[in-house]
Amino acid sequence: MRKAGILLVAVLLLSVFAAGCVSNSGSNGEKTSITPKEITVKDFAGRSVTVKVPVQRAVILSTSALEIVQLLGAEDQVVGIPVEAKADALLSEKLKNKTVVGKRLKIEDWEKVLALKPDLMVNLYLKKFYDVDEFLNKSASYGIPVIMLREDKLDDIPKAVELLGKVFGKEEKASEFEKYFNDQVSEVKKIAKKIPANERKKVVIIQPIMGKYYVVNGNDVIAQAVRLVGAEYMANFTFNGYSPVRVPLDKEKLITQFKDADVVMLLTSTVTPYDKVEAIKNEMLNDEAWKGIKAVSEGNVYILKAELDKDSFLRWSPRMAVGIWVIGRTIYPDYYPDWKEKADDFIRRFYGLS
Amino acid sequence: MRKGVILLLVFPLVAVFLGIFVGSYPTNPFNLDQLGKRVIWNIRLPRTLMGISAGMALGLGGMVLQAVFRNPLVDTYILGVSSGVALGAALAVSFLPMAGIAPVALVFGLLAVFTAYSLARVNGRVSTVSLVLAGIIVTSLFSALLALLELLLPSESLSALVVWLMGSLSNATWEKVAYSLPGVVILTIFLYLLRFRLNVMSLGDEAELLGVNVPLWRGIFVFLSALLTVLVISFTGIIGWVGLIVPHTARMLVGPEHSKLIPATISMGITVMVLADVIVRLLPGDIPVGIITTVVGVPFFAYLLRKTGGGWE
Repeated sequence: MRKAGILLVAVLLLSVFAAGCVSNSGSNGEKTSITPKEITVKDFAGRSVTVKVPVQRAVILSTSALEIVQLLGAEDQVVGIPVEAKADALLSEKLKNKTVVGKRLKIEDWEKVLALKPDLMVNLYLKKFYDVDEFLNKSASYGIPVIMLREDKLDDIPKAVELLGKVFGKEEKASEFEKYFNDQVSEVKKIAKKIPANERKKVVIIQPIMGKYYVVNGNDVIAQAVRLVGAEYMANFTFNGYSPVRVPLDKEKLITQFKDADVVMLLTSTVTPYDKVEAIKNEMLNDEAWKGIKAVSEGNVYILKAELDKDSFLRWSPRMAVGIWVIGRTIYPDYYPDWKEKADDFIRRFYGLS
Repeated sequence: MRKGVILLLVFPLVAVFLGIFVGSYPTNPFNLDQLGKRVIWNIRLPRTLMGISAGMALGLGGMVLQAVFRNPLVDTYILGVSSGVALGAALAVSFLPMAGIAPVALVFGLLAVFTAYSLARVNGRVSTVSLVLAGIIVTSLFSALLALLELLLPSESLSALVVWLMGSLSNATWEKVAYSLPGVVILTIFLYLLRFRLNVMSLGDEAELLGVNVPLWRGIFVFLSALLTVLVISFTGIIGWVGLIVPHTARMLVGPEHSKLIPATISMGITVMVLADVIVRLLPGDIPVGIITTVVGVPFFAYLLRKTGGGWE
């Protein structure tokens, strides 16, 4: 018994010693020779942030911001990433191999962050998902400036690219993307104008996850894309002044509330991949109760990919430049061209992938 | 007495009637349109039948353990069933998506109980204290493994898992009912046939003086109770409090004799579960029924406790 006690204490001491000895194996950002200058920018939370540009050692906690950094060609200026970045097919191996400092939006180990000596952190302003104030206070106490992004609006995508382009010293590439994105939106708007009022379709998007149905709410960027292409988005939920981006609804409520929908879109997710969603779609098409929804009875149920794959374009990120075409083509195949070519061009031009 | 029997029959029948005719889609029983009929057949009937299955199984599961361990604070979750099911569900989501949640959850739920029971068995005997402690050990271990898996899950699956774990009948289908309800009915019949054995077991150590092999029967009843629970919660997620409140209240009302207690528990279990689901349907969104059973069940239980002192000897 006494021996066991001594052994236990020894094991604990060894563990503490070993933990202390573990060196930080994370990658170090490569320094550039440009002399930094200080600028003040306004982030998406309306905060004034003073940062030395070009940023050399950024810790980025959202995959969408990382996709922007990759697009800008600023991978070398990043030192820390969230674990979700590993699954993002648009990100280079170089970026994926940076030190993992947390899980989406949250820092798991501040010591790890401090060891990376970041000169900027980029995160999302999502108060419902983590303690934003605590995060900002902690960063301020360590003297690390933070830029907050928001994934609320479609229009914010080029603005976010512009902002990050400025702080990473990649204004030229940012302008190129901004022009590209705005051109896509203008083209889509032109087509949308041609659609007669009597052909305006009612649309609802559902994301099935673990046997539950989550309706994409009207404030989500995908719903905004539906309106952009000239359709009417049916879901618009507000609870006590708060509009969540996903609303769980049971089957009966879905049938009751969306029985007039002309098009139902089913979104994939990391939990419910394409083949599972396809099985749900087939179940819907063969279920008499689901046929209470006009779109289901007419067979207008479509699957849209919204994961982190290379061919998924329905996320708040530069991907939406193609995403709006995906939505347009799905709802109005007679008006919008096939988006595959656009997707290939976008991937090649901005991510260097084929 | 007769009044009590009538009430025990009427309450679940009223609950089932409401379960069939109340929901967001208007369904007047005297004037049903085509879609209304489809909604009832394809959505509400499976939901209500799953509610019946859950009410019977969770109520009886708790009743059996309360009798066998002579302890009003025991229900099947104390054996680690819920942590086993939760771990199974998380494993299914993260590593075995093609296997489906229910089978993996069922296997891990039973594995948890088997582990707890094996740990609690000292010199061939299982005492209440050792079983509670073994349940705590298994629950802690499985919860730690669940927490580890949660770290690996992407945020959208994590929040979906949390919602799933709160328990819901809204994803009930005829297929799930076909897997759950027949098993629950068979086990219920089996338990009713063993009602006298349960009466004897609830005497505690005195049962041995009557020639009963207490360790063997205790094991059998623990297994039956766990099986009843996993046959439901692997499909619905974890529905809390029903296994504790329903049998406890039934015992307060009809006493400890199992020929009365079993029907009373079935009646109350069905009433509570189906009505809780009806409430959920009338609320916005898709709120997990486990939240309703807890929110409604806890004050009701507290009221009964204050009124009766919790005695059921």
